[in-house]
Amino acid sequence: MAQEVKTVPISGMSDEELILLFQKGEEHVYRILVERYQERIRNLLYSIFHEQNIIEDLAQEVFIKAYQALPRFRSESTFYTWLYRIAVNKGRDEIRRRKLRRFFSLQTLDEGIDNEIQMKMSVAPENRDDHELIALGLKTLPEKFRTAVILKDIDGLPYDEIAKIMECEVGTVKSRISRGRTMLRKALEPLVKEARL
Amino acid sequence: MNLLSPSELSAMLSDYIDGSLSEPEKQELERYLRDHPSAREELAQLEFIKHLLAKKKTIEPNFAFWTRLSVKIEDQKKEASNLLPFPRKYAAAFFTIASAALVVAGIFAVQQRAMIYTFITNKSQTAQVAYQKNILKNGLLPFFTSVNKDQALQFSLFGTLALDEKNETALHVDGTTQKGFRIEVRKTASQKQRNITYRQFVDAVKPTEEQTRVLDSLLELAGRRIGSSILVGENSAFAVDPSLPKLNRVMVASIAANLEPLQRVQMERIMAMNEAPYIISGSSAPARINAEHIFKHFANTASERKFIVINSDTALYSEVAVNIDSLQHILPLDVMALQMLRNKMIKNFFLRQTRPQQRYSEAGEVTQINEDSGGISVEITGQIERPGAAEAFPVFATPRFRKPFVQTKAKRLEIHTGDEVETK
Repeated sequence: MAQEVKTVPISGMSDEELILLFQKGEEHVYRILVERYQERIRNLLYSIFHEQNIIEDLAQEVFIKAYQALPRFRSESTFYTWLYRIAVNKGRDEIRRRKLRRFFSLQTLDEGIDNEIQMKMSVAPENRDDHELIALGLKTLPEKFRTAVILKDIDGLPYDEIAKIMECEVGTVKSRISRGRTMLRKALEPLVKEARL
Repeated sequence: MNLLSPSELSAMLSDYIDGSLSEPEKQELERYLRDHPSAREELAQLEFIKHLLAKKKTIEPNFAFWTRLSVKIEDQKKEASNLLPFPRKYAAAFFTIASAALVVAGIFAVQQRAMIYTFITNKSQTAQVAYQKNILKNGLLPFFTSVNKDQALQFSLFGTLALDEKNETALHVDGTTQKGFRIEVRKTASQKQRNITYRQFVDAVKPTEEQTRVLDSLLELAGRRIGSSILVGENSAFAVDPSLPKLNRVMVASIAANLEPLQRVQMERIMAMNEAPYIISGSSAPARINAEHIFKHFANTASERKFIVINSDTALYSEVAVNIDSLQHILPLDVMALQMLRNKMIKNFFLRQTRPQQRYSEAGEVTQINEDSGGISVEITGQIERPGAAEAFPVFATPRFRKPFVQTKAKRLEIHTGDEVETK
């Protein structure tokens, strides 16, 4: 008589089940979690920095940090939110590091971006890259406004999820999104007005 | 609604485009918008910005992401494992005690060598008797008369070998399970097809002339090893060398070592797309390894000439001494007979009426049989060597997923001596 063999499809397991396995010593399941979220994390970091060359290193650091901290993960939030929080904190650290470097080298990065936006706006509309402009516009926003706008308008996350990731109240998130959008509208005013004509 | 300040208006418009205003708030704002063209203009601009952000370009996928990450994680683990599990000040005492224990064990082994020799010989003879009585009464022949480059590559990348010309049945070795390895004979319809020809592989990785020569030699060596590792008996028994999973892993590493890092990414991509059981890893991203070093590494796969003997209803892990050279010698005389044996064996695997049993071999490894309508699989614990620091080769293969053993309700039997069988 043939016996039914039941296999356990690891790749079909939920994040919680995989984390439980990981915490029991089955560390190989981490690959599935990485493959599930690496694209989103890389895209989040790309939205924050818009620099291809540093994204891979930052994303690797995010997943290494998550790997080290996963044994202590307590499921108080979803893995996805937790991982996003690590990525957002990593992005914040990188921005602070850059600010410090700029302070000592006396550069004025914001002015540089404003000039770049003006320059890119001056080309003919058919040759203009709107995606490039929006990325540059995002870079002019202070980190907390930039992250809030990215999480809402690019990642499409709900307010409460963003609040957990940014570790603040929902009201604060709404205010940051609103102010971020207003700043972005002003930074890209010529583009926005032209499109409205 | 009274005139809103710019910040109040921005906040309300932001909530409005997110759909988070209550119905009365929404109606109130819409009335306000009707009376204030500048507010309408601001709303349109905010919606345009939101629309642009939602369409923002995404980054290209990175197929080598996990490969790089796994190397970094391994490096970190190695650093962590350098720490002794006890305070450093006890290290000298620990190593002294360990050395003393080794010396005592050595003296004991020398004194009792006759007894140990007798014990090992008896055990080996018992296994031999079990093997002869249970499985192979009429000799063994190599299953494959020859293994071509396509077959050798297929095995090297995926651990799979077609057992018949129509590619309907396949042997699959899997060294990626958690506690050992698995050997399966399955109908190909019941599992995912992975088929990369030698030509497709070469077109994808574009090896140089020198690399092609090394690749061809590796595949030829692998083909010969496969030829002498799968045997068929006249009573439909099937003997498989348990070093085949290791050969699979070493071949992945050897083929990858023969490539430059960028070609290796291509290879990893092909393997990922086909869900190959292994991924390529390495302590860093080394440039191509020289051929001599690769072939030396390949030589590590030398078989111990133990075989797992399987027929349609039994399996036994047995230390079978087979003189492959003499088998190869008689082979050309009896190709037709061999073909008949193969067909009979494959047929019997899928027409069997008997229930598979599980036996505990004298070699000490737990052998478990699982079956379903698609085929039969044998799982052996604790046999396969894992790649690691001990393997001084800069490129190695690590399991894509470490699979658990299949849980079944199969009965477990133990052989204690010869054919005296006791049910557990």
